[in-house]
Amino acid sequence: MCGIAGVIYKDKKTHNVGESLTAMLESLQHRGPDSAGFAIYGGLNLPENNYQLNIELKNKPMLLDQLKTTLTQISPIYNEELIHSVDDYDVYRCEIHLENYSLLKPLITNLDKIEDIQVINGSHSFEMIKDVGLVKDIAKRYNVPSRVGTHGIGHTRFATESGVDRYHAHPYQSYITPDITVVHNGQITNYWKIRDPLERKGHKFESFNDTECIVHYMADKLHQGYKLEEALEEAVHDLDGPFSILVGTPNGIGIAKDKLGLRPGVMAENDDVFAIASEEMSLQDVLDTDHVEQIAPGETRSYTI
Amino acid sequence: MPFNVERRSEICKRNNNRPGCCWYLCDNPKKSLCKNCYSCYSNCPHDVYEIINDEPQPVHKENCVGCKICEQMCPTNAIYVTPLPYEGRGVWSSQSMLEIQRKSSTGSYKVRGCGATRIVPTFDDLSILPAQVSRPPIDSYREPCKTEVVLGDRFAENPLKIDTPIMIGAMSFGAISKEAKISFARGATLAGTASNTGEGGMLPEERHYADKLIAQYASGRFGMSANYLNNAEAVEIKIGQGAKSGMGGHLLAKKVTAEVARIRNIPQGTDALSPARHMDIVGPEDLGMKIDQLRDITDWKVPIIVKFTAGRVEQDVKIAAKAGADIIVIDGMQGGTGAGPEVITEHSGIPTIQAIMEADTALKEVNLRTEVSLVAAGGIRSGADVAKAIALGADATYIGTAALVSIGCKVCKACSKGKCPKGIATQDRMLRRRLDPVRGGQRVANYIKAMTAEAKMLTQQAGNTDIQKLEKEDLVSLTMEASQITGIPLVR
Amino acid sequence: MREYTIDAKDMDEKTLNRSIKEHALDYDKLIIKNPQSKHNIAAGLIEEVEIEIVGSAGYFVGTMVDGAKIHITRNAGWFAGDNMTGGELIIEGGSGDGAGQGIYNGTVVVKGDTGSRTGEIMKGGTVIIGGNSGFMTGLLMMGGRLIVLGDVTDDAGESIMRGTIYVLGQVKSLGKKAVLKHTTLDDQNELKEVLTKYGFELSDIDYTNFKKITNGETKTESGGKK
Repeated sequence: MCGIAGVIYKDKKTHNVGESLTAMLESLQHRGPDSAGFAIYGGLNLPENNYQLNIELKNKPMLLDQLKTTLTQISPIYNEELIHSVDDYDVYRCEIHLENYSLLKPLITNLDKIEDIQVINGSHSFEMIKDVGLVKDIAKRYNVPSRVGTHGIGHTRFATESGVDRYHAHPYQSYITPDITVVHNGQITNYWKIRDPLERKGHKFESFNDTECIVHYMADKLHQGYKLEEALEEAVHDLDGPFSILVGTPNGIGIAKDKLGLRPGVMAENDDVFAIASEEMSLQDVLDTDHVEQIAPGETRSYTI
Repeated sequence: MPFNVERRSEICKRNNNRPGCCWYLCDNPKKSLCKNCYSCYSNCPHDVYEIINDEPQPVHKENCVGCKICEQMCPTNAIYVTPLPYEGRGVWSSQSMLEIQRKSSTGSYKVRGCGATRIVPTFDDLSILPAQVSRPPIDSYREPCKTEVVLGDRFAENPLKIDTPIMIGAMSFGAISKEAKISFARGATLAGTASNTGEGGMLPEERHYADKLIAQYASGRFGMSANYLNNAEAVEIKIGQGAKSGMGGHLLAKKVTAEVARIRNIPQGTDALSPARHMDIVGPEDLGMKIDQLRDITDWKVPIIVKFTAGRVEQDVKIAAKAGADIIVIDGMQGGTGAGPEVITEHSGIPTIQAIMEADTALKEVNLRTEVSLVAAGGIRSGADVAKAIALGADATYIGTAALVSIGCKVCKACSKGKCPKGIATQDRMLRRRLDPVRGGQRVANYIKAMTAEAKMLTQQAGNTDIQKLEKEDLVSLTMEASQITGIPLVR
Repeated sequence: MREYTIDAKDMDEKTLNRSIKEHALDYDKLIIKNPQSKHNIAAGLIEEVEIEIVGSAGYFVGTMVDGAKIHITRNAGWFAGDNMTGGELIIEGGSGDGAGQGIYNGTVVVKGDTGSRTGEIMKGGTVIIGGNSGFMTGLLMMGGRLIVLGDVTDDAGESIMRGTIYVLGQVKSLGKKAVLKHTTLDDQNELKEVLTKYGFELSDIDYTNFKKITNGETKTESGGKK
């Protein structure tokens, strides 16, 4: 369901990843009109144990104050920003400090209990931007082209079996290990057989979206000590149905495609950049090359910096 | 063999100087046979009869499919074909046991024609509320009622305009005979509605006689070309059909006659395989791209239809609507086929009435109900079914099996054998002679006109002046099940 | 020769295709600049015209064309030449999955590598792949010839009914119903003729090294019927 794109700069320095991904996703707009999202790594530069929160809240009196009161009981608030989204929703983003990473998920769970508030994500080393609507509107709303980073992944969504809202937009994040994100084009047809064992381990699922299932699956594998490449190979073996997935980690990008190769994926690179997308037209936005490689059925690839 | 075939020799007068088999142009015009009537023997395409001591005897009852052609054609009414009675072994009926025996000896699944025949909630479980004084009924005999429908005016420059909300569903040339295809084309034209090519390409005769023709775009892509698509009034992407959801087709090489091969544009004597899914439609954005592709080929002129089997209706309909379909067809589990594995036909899919409700709701949820037309298919037999389907939320309907019955089909479910005694689901030259396409066309038209009149009557009796204006509030459920699955209140 | 150049840069697919169809009536050759991997370029074109696409084309390039000669200077997306009924599609670079899918006639040439399911459900015509071809090459082929100068990976010729796949490189594994055979002298001459025509220069030894994949069953299967 959708178009996916990823880009990584080889020199480990920050570049205009936001601009590149916006252009790439705009080219893939026809693959998904419902929502779009970005995970941009390496440009946030937060101090240790500081986290950026993106919180969706309904535009009604006192709600923001209530949210801030709850937050300040736990941490001081830095760099806050309120962005108006569509209808009567706002997105509140701010930076907080926690004692350690394990407190992040409980905090999010607590905030979610407030009526009309939904935490979209909390991250340390990457910036998450996702919303409903067209890529160009979202990019403008959040000023995405100005965001810098070393690498990033993006997504434009054609909703299939779960709802169209901000939370169900990709990328999805898992808190099992820090800062893992996934974007996905396809369906997982053995969803419950993947979800059930993860739930029995104590991982919390927030939705019935199959991408959420993949991100927890990947995070769980990485948590167990698998390398990214190995975890991707396991994923190709365990997950059923058509899919192309892109996994973002603080050090790089992973790619996997289902055994029958039912979803597209092309990649290309030059001396500076490695890019991957659903269609070639998207690659042409970041690099000019004749040599475009097709991802083969069942193939996995990881690119780390 | 769930049928008993009996020939009463005391009634049979073979020397009656009235050769029964000649009612149809006889298959086997041997003078020696014609002198004495061997109608039952000659008409049976399934070799049930043998001639023993000059008498035709139903020796091979196991071959009988229950088409009753022998009974019908016997000039002296000496033949009786009766289903074997139910013998009180619970679920271990003779049919179940025979099926186990058949599987044990052949090791293969059963292939048969027609849709699901098990008992599921149908249109019969709904009733239309008559208008009295709270709202007045409309006089069916004198006051007008609109039946015309415009389908697919969302993006197409030339939407499909039909006089009645009843169209003929897709049945391919190859699965059915040329005569049957021509009957449908002529019938649809006479009734002012549209006929459908099916997946087997477009017959020139069919195009000639059909005023409005829908070109089907199925996974096998038989006979497919830019001309084929541009030569039709609408293009239908078949994702699935009610009887065999998620299954491809398989036309055996021996049935790929020279003409079938030519129309399908494949080498003669090749099995014609259609894959289970379109190789290039694997996800929702693929469907969107496919619709764009077909629009580019047809230059945005004709409506693009997407046909689904009724399964995950809500999601599928929402996807098709967002992907840009002009018309969506939803085919319930009673929808038919020329051949499909019985296990799929009977054990997958959901009933038509529920599918219509779900599709209508899904379109409303994505705010596209007025833009996208909805066509219901699967088990529609009468004007009452049509009126109820429209009240449930459809804009128009497809008839398939019912149209076949109107030209003589006996629903013997043996279409796949290719020996249809009525000349419909066969390519056999002699059997095909039994179907007259002119008379067939007239019968189809009569049937659609009568159905339209019925639907019109029910509409007017509910107090409406346009079939399209029927709504859910005009319906009531007669059974708990129908009420539960459709949400239409139970009669009180 | 009358030429016309279309700059596709700011056009949507509908406008581009309408422009192609309109100008194909009056000109012999159309040059399309800045194709930007747009989809469905020249979809359903039935004029016999030459088209030069300067750059890469997207999905379904040349779908259902009948008679046009299309040349792409870079790559093509998935399903290049889908359901062609005549003409020529030449791609200088590589292409995505399903190149030459379901063609009835005409020729599709991909000079570089191609993805999976090349030439699936094709019923006639010729597909030539200069590089490698992926998973299930020639799936459900019902006719025509598919020539791969590089390697093919798993399940080559899966469920092939009729038609022939010629492979010069390695065949990793065969699909159901497919068998691998040696080519005959006639086959080699036929290959030489068509490959030379499209500018592939192979040595005589190469021609003898071609293998062919065809249906291995003596009679057709009788499973589910219609």
